Amino acid sequence: MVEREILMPQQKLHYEGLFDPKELYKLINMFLRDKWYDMRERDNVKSTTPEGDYIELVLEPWKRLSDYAVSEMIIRVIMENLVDKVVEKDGVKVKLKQGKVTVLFDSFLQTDFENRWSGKPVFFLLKQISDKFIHGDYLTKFKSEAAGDVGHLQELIKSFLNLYRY
Amino acid sequence: MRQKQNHGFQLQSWVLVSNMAKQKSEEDKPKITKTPKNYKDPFKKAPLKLSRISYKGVFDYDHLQLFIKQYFISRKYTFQEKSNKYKKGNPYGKEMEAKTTAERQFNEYFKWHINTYAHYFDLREVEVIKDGVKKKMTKGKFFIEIDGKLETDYQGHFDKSSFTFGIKRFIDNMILFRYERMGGVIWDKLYYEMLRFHNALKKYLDMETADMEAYADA
Repeated sequence: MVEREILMPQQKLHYEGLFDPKELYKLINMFLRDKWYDMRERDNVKSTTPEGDYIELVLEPWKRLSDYAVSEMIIRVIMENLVDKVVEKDGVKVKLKQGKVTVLFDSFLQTDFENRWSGKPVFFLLKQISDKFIHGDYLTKFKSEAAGDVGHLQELIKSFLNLYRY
Repeated sequence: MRQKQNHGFQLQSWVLVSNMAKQKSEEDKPKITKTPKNYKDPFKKAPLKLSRISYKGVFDYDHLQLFIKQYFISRKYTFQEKSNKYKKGNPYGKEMEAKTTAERQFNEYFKWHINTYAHYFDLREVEVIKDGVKKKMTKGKFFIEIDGKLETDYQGHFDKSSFTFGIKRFIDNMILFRYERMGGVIWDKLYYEMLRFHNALKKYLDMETADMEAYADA
């Protein structure tokens, strides 16, 4: 059985104002690519409402850290009441969107993702012993790496959204 | 004459009996099951989980169906519409379901399958002015689910006997599966092929998140 450990409590990021959703998505994609994550888009919702567009994204990027552990994130981006706006920046007209953005981050470490150590009770016991006493250092290193990636992405998105505060 | 007729009858009955006996003996023979029940195919599913696109608004239903079909055909897939359901009588509008599969031979041993399941709700026809021209479009909501599968030995070369099947099992489990996990060639290609289709659909629907620049060269 795959063991999924929550690495940190859910992190939230709120923003309201002008921004470019395409650039935001591109930023997340580029970051994940740079960190060798594989992209998985579980859900992608777009609906048009009288108040503006509603976009919801559920991204589940994952990275194989070793034959035993996988780092996984769940990034939920919710954009509400998006309305088109034209803004002048350095004498150039730029098309942006105005609305609310909420980004939720979750980070997990999956161990034994191939179900190799859960077939028999003896195997499971061996797995627990190795996790605690033999490969404990490796796992803590993986955990800090996975949690660090989420923190880094969060900081990047924050600084990206601050750019649009005219 | 009577004797001859009798002989003829006897011969016919003997042929019938012998045929029956043959059939019985064939039925009694233990059948070789090509795939054992407890066999776990490592290539049963591609590593990409189900991805989904949901949309609510105005769109061109017929053109969307055509787009999906043309996308796969242009990429040398064999496209099949598995089922197409039309439900009428809902006060909010029509309801439709469409299941399609696209298949492509990667090489002599591997075959890609990309399955899509589209469910449309509350469909109503509306007239929209686009670029100064009146056009009939559809208003409603839908979701499209994309799923992938990698098939091994699709020609059935290794299914002929239990010995050849054992060879297949050895190749799948010990050579290819490990190789795939180590480097990843065929799984990854299917995975990115599915992502590309996912992105093409988003682009078609003019979604803000239609961007594959980061994974374009993959």
